[in-house]
Amino acid sequence: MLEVMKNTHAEMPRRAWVRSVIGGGLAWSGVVARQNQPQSPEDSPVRLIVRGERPLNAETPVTAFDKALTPTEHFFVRTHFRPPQVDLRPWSASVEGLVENPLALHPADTSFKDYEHVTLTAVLQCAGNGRAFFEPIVPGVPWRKGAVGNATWTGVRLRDVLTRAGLKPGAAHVHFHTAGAPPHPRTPPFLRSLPLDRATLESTLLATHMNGEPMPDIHGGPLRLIVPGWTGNHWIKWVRRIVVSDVEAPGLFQQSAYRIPRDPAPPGATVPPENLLPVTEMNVKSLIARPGAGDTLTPGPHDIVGAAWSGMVPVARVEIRIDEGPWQVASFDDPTIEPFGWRIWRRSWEATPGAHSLSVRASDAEGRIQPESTAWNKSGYLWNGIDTIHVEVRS
Amino acid sequence: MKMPRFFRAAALLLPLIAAAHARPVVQDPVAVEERAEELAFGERIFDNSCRMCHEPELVLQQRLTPRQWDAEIEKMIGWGAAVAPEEIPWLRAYLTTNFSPSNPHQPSQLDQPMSKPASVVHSVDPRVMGNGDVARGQSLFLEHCGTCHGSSGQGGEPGQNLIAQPVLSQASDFQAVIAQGRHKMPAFDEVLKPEQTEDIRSWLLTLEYQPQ
Repeated sequence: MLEVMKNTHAEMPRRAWVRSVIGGGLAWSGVVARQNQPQSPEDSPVRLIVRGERPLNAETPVTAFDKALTPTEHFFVRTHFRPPQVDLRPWSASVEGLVENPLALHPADTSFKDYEHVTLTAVLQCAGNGRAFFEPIVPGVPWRKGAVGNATWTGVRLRDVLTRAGLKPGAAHVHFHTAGAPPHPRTPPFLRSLPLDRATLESTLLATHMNGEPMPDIHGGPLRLIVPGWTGNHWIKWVRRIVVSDVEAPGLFQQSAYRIPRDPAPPGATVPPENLLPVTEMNVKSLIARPGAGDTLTPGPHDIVGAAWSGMVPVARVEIRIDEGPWQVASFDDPTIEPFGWRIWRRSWEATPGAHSLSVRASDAEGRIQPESTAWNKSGYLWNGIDTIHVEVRS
Repeated sequence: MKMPRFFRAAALLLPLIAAAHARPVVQDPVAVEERAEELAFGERIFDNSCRMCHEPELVLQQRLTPRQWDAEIEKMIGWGAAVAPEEIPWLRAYLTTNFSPSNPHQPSQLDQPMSKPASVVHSVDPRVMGNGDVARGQSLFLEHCGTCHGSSGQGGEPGQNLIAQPVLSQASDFQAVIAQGRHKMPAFDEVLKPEQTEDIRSWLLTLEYQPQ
């Protein structure tokens, strides 16, 4: 259920961060560190794995996925182009197109508090998470397991904003223009749209906060679209213009990118556009966080722990397999189910000396189950093959 | 960019060189040396052109077939990458030779931990705005920068879009880039005084990116 938190925005002002420039490779982006960072159990030595420094693409080590919520500092970052400057003037986003009353949203302004603020927990996963596991190899950021995380997101419902603006007849799609500018006039902008029925779902938010704190720039603050259950390419960062239209957004990123074959096609096959489907809902998936791949363990009891999630319905069941043994049901840490969040699961294992493989597979509330491997597609989307790791047990 | 003499001569033999790429092993010492020189030239094009918009890790972690690399090169040139047609064969040779599926990753190319936190929050800070003369900055920009970066900073051939670039918030970083040059941009330290650079930065800071 959505947890309604009225006016939480007022209690969470954007903090006055003291700037200090980070040296080295990150200086390019004006990325700054926050001083006097509070010491907490979350201040573990987890370091993101860099897949590209500029624009910044970095994934979370899978060993961090044993927590119900992924700390913001450890959350993966996917950027297509450079992040925009957000410190020049108060942020504003326009609502225009097929609306009766075009309006402007000012997240830092008191007027924004007129909207009911809600907080929900949702998995954010890049459509290309696991791309590196496709064979033959496909181009793109070679994400392995960590372009995913689970966080709380606080903001206003998009449908409340659209209701206030008033939809005109013919409204069918909502376009989201980001302030993340392409580097060159010939580079297509990252323009995406949602069909109106998805845009007006209760769970679709315009968020200002992540894990209860003002959303960091690199994660799309001051204003990011939240589309729980759908892949990260829909979660537009730095929302600047919201345009209601009768048609889908034009351009590469909506019209031809983020497509997979309707039916599995062999690598290299040419699939006609009418047989391609847009990537929208996430598929069911699970990962082993502990033990880590390649770990050496002592004989005796060990917990196997990890995270599992799906798209518009929750995960229902997680099973573990040791070597070639039977699938054994794991338990969930928390019996409550966040509709769009992930669930931490665990199962105790009596480890015996030798080399072992540990596998996990999840199934969701609609009975969909993880396959051994995911049907190949040329851009490497939606990998959800069964996760297997290898460990060594010796005294 | 001026090609080394060897390459100007070899340009006539491009089809033969392209065919040679298919051979996994080159035994002839002269050919080995020429090939190394050719790949180094391709790497230079990569450094000068591709790194204008992205750092190399993204490419170093790819392992693609020649056909896939051709598609990537074509896509990036379509997106504005400053690669001249005559440079394409060298760039292609560099990419297809070093980053093919048959050439496994070096451990150093994978799983590099990030050394600094990325999760930070900027607040609106009027101190970011420049201290320079905005009008003078615009005319200096048109005179020295507009040819490559477009008359309104929106980007052009071959310069990047400069509107709302995060580097604009960092006066010292911006000064350093202008003074020392970067990638295809020459150093301007003997052309622009620091206060003139600040004028330019101040003008650029007045521009807002309006997605269309």
